[in-house]
Amino acid sequence: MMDEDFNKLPSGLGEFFRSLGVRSIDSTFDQLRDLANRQLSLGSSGHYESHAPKRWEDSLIEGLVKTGDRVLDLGCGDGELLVRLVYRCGAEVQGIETNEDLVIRCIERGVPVCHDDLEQMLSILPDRSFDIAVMENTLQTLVHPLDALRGMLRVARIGVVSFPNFAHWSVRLTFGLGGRMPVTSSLPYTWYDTPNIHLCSINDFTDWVVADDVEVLESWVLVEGKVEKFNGDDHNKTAEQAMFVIKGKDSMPAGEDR
Amino acid sequence: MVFGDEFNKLSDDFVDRRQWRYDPPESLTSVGVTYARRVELTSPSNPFPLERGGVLESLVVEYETYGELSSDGSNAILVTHALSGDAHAAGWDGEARRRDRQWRLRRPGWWDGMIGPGKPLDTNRFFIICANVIGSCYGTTGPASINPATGRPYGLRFPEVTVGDWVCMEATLLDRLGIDQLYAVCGGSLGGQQALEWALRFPDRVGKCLVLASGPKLPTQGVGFNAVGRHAILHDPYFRGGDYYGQAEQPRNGLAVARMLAHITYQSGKQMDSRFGRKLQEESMKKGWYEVEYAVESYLNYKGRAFVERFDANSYLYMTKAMDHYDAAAAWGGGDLLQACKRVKAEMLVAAFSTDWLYPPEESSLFVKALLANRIPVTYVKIDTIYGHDAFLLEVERVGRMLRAFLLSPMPSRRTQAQYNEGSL
Repeated sequence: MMDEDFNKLPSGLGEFFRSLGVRSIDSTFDQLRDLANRQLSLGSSGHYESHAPKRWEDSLIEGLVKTGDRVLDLGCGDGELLVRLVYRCGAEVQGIETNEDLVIRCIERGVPVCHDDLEQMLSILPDRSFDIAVMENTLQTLVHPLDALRGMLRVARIGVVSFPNFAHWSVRLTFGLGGRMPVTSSLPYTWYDTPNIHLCSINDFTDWVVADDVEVLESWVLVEGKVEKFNGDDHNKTAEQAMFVIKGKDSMPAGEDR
Repeated sequence: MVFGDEFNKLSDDFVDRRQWRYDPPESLTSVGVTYARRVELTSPSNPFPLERGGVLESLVVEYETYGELSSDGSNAILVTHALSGDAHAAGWDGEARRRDRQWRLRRPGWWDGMIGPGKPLDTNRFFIICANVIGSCYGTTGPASINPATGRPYGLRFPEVTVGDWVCMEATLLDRLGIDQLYAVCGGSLGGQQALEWALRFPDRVGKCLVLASGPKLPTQGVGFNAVGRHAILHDPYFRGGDYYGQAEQPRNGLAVARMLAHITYQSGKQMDSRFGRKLQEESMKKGWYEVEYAVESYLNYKGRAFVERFDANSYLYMTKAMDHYDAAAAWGGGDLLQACKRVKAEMLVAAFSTDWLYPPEESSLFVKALLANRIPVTYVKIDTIYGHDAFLLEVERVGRMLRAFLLSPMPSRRTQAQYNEGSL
């Protein structure tokens, strides 16, 4: 009889209740069911709409992911982006993260995550095993950033990479005129506790894109808190952060990366 | 420095007591006093077939369960034990005295820190089953059992067993218990091999598969260690080709040596350093120069002696052989691990420990790679620890946190896959 009661619930909800330890004989069961039904009737994705993404890149990445895509997040943190991609885009996801506490958060959220150094992990992943590889604000912390970028394009069809722009005017100002290591909203660390070891500017990145013969599919920048399409030199001064969607040239045989 | 030594000894005792603080049976987080059950899985017309040939005419399995099975049978977790483990995974054995298992009076089941009300494998929520495997010596049919054909103990005439046999035995047991789907199967070391074999052999019956400090095969170094252990047993003068049952002299030394070596491989150098250092044994002056001198020697001696009291030398041979033989790639992929991993449908958790000699993290990452190459989402955790291979038993808090999170996680990623039958969830 317990099952019958659970079967009346919308799909997924019965399982959710069970995972909370709720039984149909509990006194609160009816109230909970009504509450859940009311919440669900707001619309299929109404519940998640109320959570705005923490990072500006997240909503753009959502636009890139199609149902059934397999997404790899390099440095996935607490798995927030991946959870969004699962629920909103129907993606299959896999995260990589080095911090043990964040890994546990990912596991709790149900995001499959590998607790390992992402550069090491990238080296063992097979070619083209993912559709999209994402690296949000992580590039500048890597020991071998170019190897990671090339690895990304090897394991995934397209790569999404975002980084703070070291040529932003505020950086130039604090360093050029102030004479001190820049501390800005995109680079909030002091010189002694920063994880950033390989910072670059947008121009530096586009130079690499040309040198490595990488195709840029799309590119956005964050200018004074607003997202704009990247167009040329001016953004190198005005953009705080940048995000590029890149694709390796298919003619490049796998393994001939370096 | 008398003061220094005294101080060290006291603080050491303190650490030990803190570390081995057991839940008493009356504790709210203990499963309490447990009573093992035994069931015969064979009948005269229905013997149990074995992978490497032969059948068992009579197969009795000892198992324990904790918690309650839900009405739809969806909350069953199978816990698989390691080499020297048994069905007594949690709580205090109510029959320890009667069945002459004195060592169980002093301590609870081997995974008591993990299994119990409110613990990571929460018995308020899950129905947990642990069965002693074939060939072991804790109630399930093994080399010490009576051979019905001769009326004497099997000894080395007991047929060779494999991890696959154990999994089949567990599956038969679950059939008996009326459990079709496992919510999860979970094990460490040799138990991890069983968990993985479950995911490969019965992919549709396993929801989540947790493989701790284990992998698709035992790396060569581990095979070497096992070989030394078996050599010590086989060359003990009292071994008598395995027919030592009922004799006054038992192959105690061989088994103790095997255990001492194995115990070293279960730990890490760092741990031994921090626990014993180069501390000397107190009575070292009274004996000859070749006698026990260092604290670590006396500790290993103690471990060896204690193991002899509770384990059977023949079982040690059968169990280590099964461990050596296990090769998931050969069994399910014709030698190709990638091919074998295609079979997996369960949600996988692989945990490796940084100082593990037997299943080092590098081996685990190869396994993870094979799973990822098959587009199977994997949770892989590499735990930085000094406890070596035994960390899956000792790092209760960190491993527990991870197990709890994984067992309760919704794993939404798999639900998007067509192969995943939503009705079974």
